[in-house]
Amino acid sequence: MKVALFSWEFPPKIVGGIARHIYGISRGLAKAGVGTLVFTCEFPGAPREEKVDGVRVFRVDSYRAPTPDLGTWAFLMNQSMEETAAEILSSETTRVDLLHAHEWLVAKAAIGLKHTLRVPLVATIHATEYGRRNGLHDDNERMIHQTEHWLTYEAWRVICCSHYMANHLAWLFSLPQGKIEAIPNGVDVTEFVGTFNRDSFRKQYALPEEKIVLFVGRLVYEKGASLLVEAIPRVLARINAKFVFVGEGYMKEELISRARQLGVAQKAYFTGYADEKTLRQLYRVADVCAFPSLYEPFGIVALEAMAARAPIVVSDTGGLSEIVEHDKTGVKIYHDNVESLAWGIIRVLTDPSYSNYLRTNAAKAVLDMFSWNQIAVRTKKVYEHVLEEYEKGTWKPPAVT
Amino acid sequence: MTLLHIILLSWEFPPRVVGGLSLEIEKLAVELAKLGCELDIVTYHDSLTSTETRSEGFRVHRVTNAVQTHTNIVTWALALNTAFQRVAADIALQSTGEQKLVHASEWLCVPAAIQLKKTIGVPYVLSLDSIEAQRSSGSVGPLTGAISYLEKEGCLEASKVLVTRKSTAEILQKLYSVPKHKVTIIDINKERDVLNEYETALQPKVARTDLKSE
Repeated sequence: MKVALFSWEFPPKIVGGIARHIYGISRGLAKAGVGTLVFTCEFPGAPREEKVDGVRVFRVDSYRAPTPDLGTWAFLMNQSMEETAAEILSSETTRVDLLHAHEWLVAKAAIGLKHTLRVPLVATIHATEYGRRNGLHDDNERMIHQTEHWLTYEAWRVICCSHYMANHLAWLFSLPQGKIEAIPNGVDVTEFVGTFNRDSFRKQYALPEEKIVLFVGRLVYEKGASLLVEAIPRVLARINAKFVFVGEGYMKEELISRARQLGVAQKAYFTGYADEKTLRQLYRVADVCAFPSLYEPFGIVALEAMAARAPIVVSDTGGLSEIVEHDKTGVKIYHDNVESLAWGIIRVLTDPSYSNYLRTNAAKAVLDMFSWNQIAVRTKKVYEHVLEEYEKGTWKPPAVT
Repeated sequence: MTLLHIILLSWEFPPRVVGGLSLEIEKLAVELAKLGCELDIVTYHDSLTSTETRSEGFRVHRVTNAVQTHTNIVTWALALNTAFQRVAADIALQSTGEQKLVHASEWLCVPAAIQLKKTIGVPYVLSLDSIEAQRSSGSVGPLTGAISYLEKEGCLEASKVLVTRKSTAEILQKLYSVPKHKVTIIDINKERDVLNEYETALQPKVARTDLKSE
């Protein structure tokens, strides 16, 4: 089986979470015996064509003409991406059985190739424009939304990261449930091993006698950082702790001033953005990670914490709900409830054996369910189903003459 | 005379009449059918999306744009071209025997023509009534740049470029470095001349000639 993945970003071009996803899943697919090609955008210094861990990567010239905005750039980039892919995929030695597009940013190229090559298309929707913007407010957002719709319409199967997202897609794009597959994101546990000086690293964030409560996420309403600030006095009444907030967002000032009002400013540390290395080490020194999101399509931070063996307290919502098993791999708390959040944090911090039990189970769950190899195997199953259905039909490429 | 199968892409065709092109293409279609060409027109319409078989002996396939809201003409054209491409590919892949050729009208149909050439190997001729530099009268805005890029790519990938005026031919050579032998000045109302160009375009020696080789 051979597949061509399409993504606007792939390392070393990393803009958001998609690059890491494509990196993880493409390696996993190659390992699972799927011949994997990746078509992506060029990046200064990166070769136009290379082999990365068994995956053939093709980088496309994506700035051939000036464009006024991201939407126009994306559509024009798709024209170049499709031209490059067309030449490679119509050659006998590099033809593929399936196309797999990630996000609206590569919709046009993948849909075009589907119809000229006559091979089935699978699409992964990581997030929707409607979800990102909390509605559609201008023509640019509507254009992106409709392009997403077009991609899901043309796809044989649509993959998303959680059942929560599956319901959202079914509603937003009127998709039949049978067309949608929920396959979680993966995490690479090997990124969370290796030695470092824990004590000197930890000292930058908390006193030795303070427990570390870690929050990672944008400081925006839906991530629930304000709930965690409200919970600080309640937790401190029981146990000494430092609350570390990693991330930026429009609520930062408000959160800092609220901590001051509550008289706990010295217990709340807002670090701003952290680089990947620092973040991974923070997870590893945290005594508990708290993710009290009000809205969460997936919740990759929970997976990262689990992989780093930090116990987690999460709100019972969206994708988080599906990642965590209560009282086994983490603590689930009531949605939008400060009391419940404080209770969860105290429960983990005051009971070391419970905390160890959670972290051990979570680390195992990560390996069993959220490793890229597992995710790739599940994705391969989707490919197999699609090909099985495709074989039965009459829609095929013309016979090679 | 070889029996040709022409797939003509146009962004306007009656009953959709935006400019003069629509009626001109219709007249050409009627005359080409008389000359014995097998002919499919692929065009745009928002509501009449289906295939119409015309009594004159050709078919008209009308497609809509899957993405209805756009911020400019470039994204609109690029999205629409994928629909053109889908229908044209289906026609070409089901067509048996005859020599196949795409006729793309204006830059608005270039994206589909290029992809059809590259994936299923059907060559194309491009007809240009005017070019972006003439229309934009000196504007150097980013949208003009994107349109010029598609127009230039369209000329370089085409087997033949048909223009109506000598001035246009000159600009193509100067601005887009289109090789002189590729460009023909033609009256699109003279269907025999157009057919002659189609036949020339299908001769194997006419391949892509890019900037470096001339």
